Amino acid sequence: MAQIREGATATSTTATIEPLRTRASRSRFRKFLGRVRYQYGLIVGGTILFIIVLITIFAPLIAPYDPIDLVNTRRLPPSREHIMGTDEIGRDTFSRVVYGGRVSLRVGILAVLIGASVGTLLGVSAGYIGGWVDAIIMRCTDVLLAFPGILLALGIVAILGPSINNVMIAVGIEFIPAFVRTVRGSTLSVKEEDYVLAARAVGAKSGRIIGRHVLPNVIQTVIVLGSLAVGIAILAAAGLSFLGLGAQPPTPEWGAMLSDARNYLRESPHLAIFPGATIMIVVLSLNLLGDGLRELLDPRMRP
Amino acid sequence: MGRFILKRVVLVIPVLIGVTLLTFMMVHLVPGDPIVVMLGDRATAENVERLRREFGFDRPLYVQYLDYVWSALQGDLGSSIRTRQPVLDEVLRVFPSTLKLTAAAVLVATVVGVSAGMLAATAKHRIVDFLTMALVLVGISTPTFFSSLLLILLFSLKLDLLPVAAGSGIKPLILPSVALAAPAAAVLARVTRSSLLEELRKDYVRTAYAKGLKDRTVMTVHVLKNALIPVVTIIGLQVGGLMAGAVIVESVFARPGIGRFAVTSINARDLPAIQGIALVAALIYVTVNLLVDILYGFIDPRIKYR
Repeated sequence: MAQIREGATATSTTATIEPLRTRASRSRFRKFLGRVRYQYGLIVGGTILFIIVLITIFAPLIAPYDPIDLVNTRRLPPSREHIMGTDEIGRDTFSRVVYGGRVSLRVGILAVLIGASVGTLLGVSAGYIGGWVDAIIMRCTDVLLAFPGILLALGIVAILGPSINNVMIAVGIEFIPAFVRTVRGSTLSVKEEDYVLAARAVGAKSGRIIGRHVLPNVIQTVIVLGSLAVGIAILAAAGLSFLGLGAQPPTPEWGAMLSDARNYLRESPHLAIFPGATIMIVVLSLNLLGDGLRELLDPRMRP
Repeated sequence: MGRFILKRVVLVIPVLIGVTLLTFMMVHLVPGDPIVVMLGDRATAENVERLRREFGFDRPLYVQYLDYVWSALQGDLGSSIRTRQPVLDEVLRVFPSTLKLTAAAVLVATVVGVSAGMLAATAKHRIVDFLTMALVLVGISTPTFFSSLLLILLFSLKLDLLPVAAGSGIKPLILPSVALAAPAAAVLARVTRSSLLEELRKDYVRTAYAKGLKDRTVMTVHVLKNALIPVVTIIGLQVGGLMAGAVIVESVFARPGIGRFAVTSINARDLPAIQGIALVAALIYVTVNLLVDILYGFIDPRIKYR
């Protein structure tokens, strides 16, 4: 969490000369692909994640049973009929894990989108406008950062009331400071570039400068931070659901499934192991992907 | 040094004001009437009116805020709706347990993380390095509630080596502190490794090797001291993560503590208690970071002059 909250500042300064643009960008794309080849983490993480996303999208086709229906006796061990066994009230665990991915991925991605969009907007404003706007935004960020980790999300859920959508909003708000800080840093350094000065000299308005020059240059940083943040968001949301503050029964959700499983740990450990291992694999592949993207996109990491 | 410390302390003041504003506003940001929310089923017109007066909600907002800060300064964080006890007393009652857990976790994370990072850095790009870094990735990606359950399953239920339930002594502290420390240890290992590798590239290291010093001497006498500077900051930052992780670990291991108190209070919609816990947690976190900042000035004299 600390790494993400602190954020990393990186900018790329790609000057664009109009007529040469297409050819230059094509060869740049080829170079990019060439570098991707050597990013084993990125490839492995991306592939696992792609498969998991496909599984959650086609959940109705893949899950053998309805995730909420009682289909068999309680707490059956894994068998051919139920490859992950059945849960404490007789629902098919595999089907619940598959559908649970929908909840976790949706919450993870939407929470980061909330954090990234609000954070980028505030970060660009703080960096570009400067002055008292910058001061106010940064002081507010400091205050949010004074509440460590999921405690901020916990407080927001306390205000809004327990539900999976409120968890999503809470985790999203928790991410705002990281994006504000990172984007502000990038904006500050882009603002000093000659091409921004040139754009201003030919009379470009602030909106155009931000849209054409600042945003394209900070977006890489946002993507890297975002890809790492999705894993953390999934962990935080699952943690809150585990505490009973997120997904409410009978919604299949990995954290809530683990919470139900802890009472039967001795007799039916499979109830905890399958959803737990699934969260781990998803977050692991997101981390591999994020680290790979960072090495690929962060110019400081290039040899 | 005095000026450096003073400057850091002054910088914290606006944050503290913001924190009190935010925790104060918590109650008023609740959708609907906070009194009705807190009373739940017991919200009769009479009860609502009585409690509104008791909380002083009938006064202007700024008066309420100033009163809140003034009371907080005197150690009065209001009373819990659930237990009817002063929130500060409740927090102080469970605090030692959380402190013990967090301190044990900081110790485990530092020892394991820094040694693993050193191991990986000295074996750069060899199998040991690769395996350590793979473990680090697993450590960062495993949710605390899952690793807690796995530890219980393995060490309590299968091997019967360690107890699950809270109790006195070191033994009941081992599993929860290891579960809590795991992600922090992973982050520390990563930072230690990269910091060591960066330091090893510096000129003074080449000089040390050139004058014929052994690997171990170069590492312990020269490199380690410099490489651990960033690690100290990360340890400070991890305290926040550990406080948040304690919420989950306390709940899994049924340990008393601030985290568990927070979850119970949220489920009971006990707003004054939540408000108090949030304020205390933020105060602790800000103080720890302030101390790390100051400590940093002592370890790395260059910082003071920036």
